[in-house]
Amino acid sequence: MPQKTVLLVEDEDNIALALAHLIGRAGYGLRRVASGTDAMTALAEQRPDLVVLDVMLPGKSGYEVCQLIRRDEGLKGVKVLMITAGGGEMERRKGMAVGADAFMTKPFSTADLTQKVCALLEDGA
Amino acid sequence: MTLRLTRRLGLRLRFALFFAALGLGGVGLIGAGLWFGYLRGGGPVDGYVIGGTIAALGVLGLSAWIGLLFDENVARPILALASDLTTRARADVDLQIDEGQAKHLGTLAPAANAINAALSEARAARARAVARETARIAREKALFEALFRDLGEGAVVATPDNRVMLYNRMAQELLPRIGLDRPLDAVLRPEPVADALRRVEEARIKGRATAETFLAASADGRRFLQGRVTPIVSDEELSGHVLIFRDATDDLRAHAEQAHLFNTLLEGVRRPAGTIAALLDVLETGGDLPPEARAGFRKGISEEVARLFKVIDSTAAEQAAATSRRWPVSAVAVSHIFDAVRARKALSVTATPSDAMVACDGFAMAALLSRLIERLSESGTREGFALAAEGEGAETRLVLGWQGEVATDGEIMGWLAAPLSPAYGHYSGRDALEAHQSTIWAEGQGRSHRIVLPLPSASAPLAPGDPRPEFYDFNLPPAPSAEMAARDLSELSFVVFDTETTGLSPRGGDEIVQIAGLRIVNGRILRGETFDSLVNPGRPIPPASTRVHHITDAMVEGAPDIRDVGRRFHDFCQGSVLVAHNAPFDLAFLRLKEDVIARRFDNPVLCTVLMSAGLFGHTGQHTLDALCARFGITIPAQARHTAMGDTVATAEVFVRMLALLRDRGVTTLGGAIAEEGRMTKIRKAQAY
Repeated sequence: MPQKTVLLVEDEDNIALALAHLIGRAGYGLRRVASGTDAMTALAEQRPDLVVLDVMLPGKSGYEVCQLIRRDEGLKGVKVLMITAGGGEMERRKGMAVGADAFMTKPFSTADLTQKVCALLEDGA
Repeated sequence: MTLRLTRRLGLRLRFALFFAALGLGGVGLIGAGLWFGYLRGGGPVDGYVIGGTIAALGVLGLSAWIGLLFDENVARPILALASDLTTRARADVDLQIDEGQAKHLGTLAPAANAINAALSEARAARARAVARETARIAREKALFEALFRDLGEGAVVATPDNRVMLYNRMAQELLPRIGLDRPLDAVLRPEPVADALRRVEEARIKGRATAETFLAASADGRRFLQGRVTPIVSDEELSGHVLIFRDATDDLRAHAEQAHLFNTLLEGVRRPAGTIAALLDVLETGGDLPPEARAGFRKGISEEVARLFKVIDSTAAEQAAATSRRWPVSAVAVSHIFDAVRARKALSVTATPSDAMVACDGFAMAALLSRLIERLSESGTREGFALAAEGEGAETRLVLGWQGEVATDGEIMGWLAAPLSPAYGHYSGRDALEAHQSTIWAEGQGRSHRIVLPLPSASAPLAPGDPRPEFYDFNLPPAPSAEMAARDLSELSFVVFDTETTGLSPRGGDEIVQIAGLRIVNGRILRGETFDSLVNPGRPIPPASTRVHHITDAMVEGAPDIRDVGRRFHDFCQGSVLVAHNAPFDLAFLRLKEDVIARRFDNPVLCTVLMSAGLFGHTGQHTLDALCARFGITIPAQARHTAMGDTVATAEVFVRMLALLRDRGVTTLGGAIAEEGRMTKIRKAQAY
């Protein structure tokens, strides 16, 4: 079975570094971009199994990227995990309304994140 | 002297005395004639005596018979005509006088009717003139009323001795027990207002009429009101003061919650942050640390990070729960928001009718939806804009749907980043959403799309009731004196009330099932200040009683008992004269429950049955229906025998009777009670 891949869309380098390390350690392939616009380019180039998507991004917001993924027939079945530092209930509801599969609020424990990523990827296996 | 005697004796008695005098005079003349005849002619005495006795009895009988006929056909009809004329003259009744009651008085009854018709015409002419002249004043009054009624802040005008002279709807909503002529202290904690008034008075003495601020709790302690009090000075005399206030309860609570949250967060972050900094410092500088010690430090850092997360999580949860109201919101009808959007001429949008209410700034939400429709339609690729509301738990979602091209979240948020309206300065649509603790998103597929805006659902505000309730009275009398009996009737406030019961025997175990009351101040029936409550009687209601008042056991099952309703009614009656039709009946029920209620109903009482007997004694008809017919008052059939229906009818009758009493020179409460006291026969029949 080919290795599953994750597209990490995160503009903060420090947290991206940590997330990349965790996802890699869990045994998944990873590509990281730092803006919504770059994410769309990356998605057009290669179809990932999971997109870990920050909400607050330069260019297109995480919500918009998520909406575009859901409207793209070629990306059907791609899982989306949205993460935000906002933390409001309304943000979570909006994320789920635009099509996210899961939503996590910063700060989160590394164990929780790894567990969520694995669950989403294995669920779609 | 003669006038006083005439008043005291009454018409019918005077006629009776006249015919008695006529009879006795006739007897005297017969006696004198016979005596004179005997002296001149002589003859047998017996003949004179027998003839004289027969003639005397005949004259006396004839006098009595003519007197009775005169009483029946002249005196009584004259009194009835006089009463009818007085009623029409004083109580603005335009009904025709029944001419049949005075058929032996020749043209007197038609003449009375002609006077009545002339009076009606004169009244109508005067009313037309007054109506024309007052139309302008009425328009100004309507403007004033609308301004005060719908003012977003509570407004109360009080007399110098702190009695309520005016209040608006918001004041009634914030202080539900407020009422005209009631002490302001009864609804608002007096100390802060008194303190502000002292400052106002000091400033006034120094020649500055100024407003002072106050923060005071409502009398029941449930609300905090923040406002200002301003003196009303006319001719250098203080004639009252104006209080303008708003509900500061939520502001104060939110401020306290925010302060608490911030302090908790600060304290919660400082400790683990300090510990983490120290542990990291040791790890970085301690190059020779043994592995187990290094592991211990790392464990310490992990624990502190977990603690930090916990603080952030709990603070976020508290923040979400805090009812911070940074933006002034109120209960707004969704239909009003949609109407405001549709009123913009350039926008073509349909709206599904909705009776939902939402807590928001209606203007901001209408501006936000309008902005979205404007931007969505700019490209010319979208059409069929439609507004609708969807209930979803405790919230209502405003939904804007359309057909055509999709709108991305980035586009929508971009449109909402610009200032929302010149009315809101630099505030953007996003600011408004954040202030409402809400957000907005687009969803849909194919060509059907929609934008969803969730807002908290709200309940309708205080029912508007009468569109023009009596919220003010600028003619309130001076402060109450100790001796109520000496007070002029026009200065008193009255509570007209009626009870419905399980039966007619208060001492035989019958109980109250409903109490209704309304206030009369300065001769005006205040339809905005009513009391109407069902009472659980704690026993079954006999079907015969239900047939009369239509109150069933099921209706009173969940109602409060007499202890609760009685106390609230006692509060409602405070400082007022009680008025009821057949008052002893209703009072007997209340007074028997005084121990249970733990209050005494010791207000002065007036009974419209006794008043009627005093005013229209000769007719014998004192039922509420008869009095309504006499005064031309119509009670809707469905309202008759309901506590409130009968209360309104009694109040209408009572204000007309007050005018008649005044005409008879009865101007004080003591005088009115004394008038009732004369009706001893009826009073005995009213013993319950």
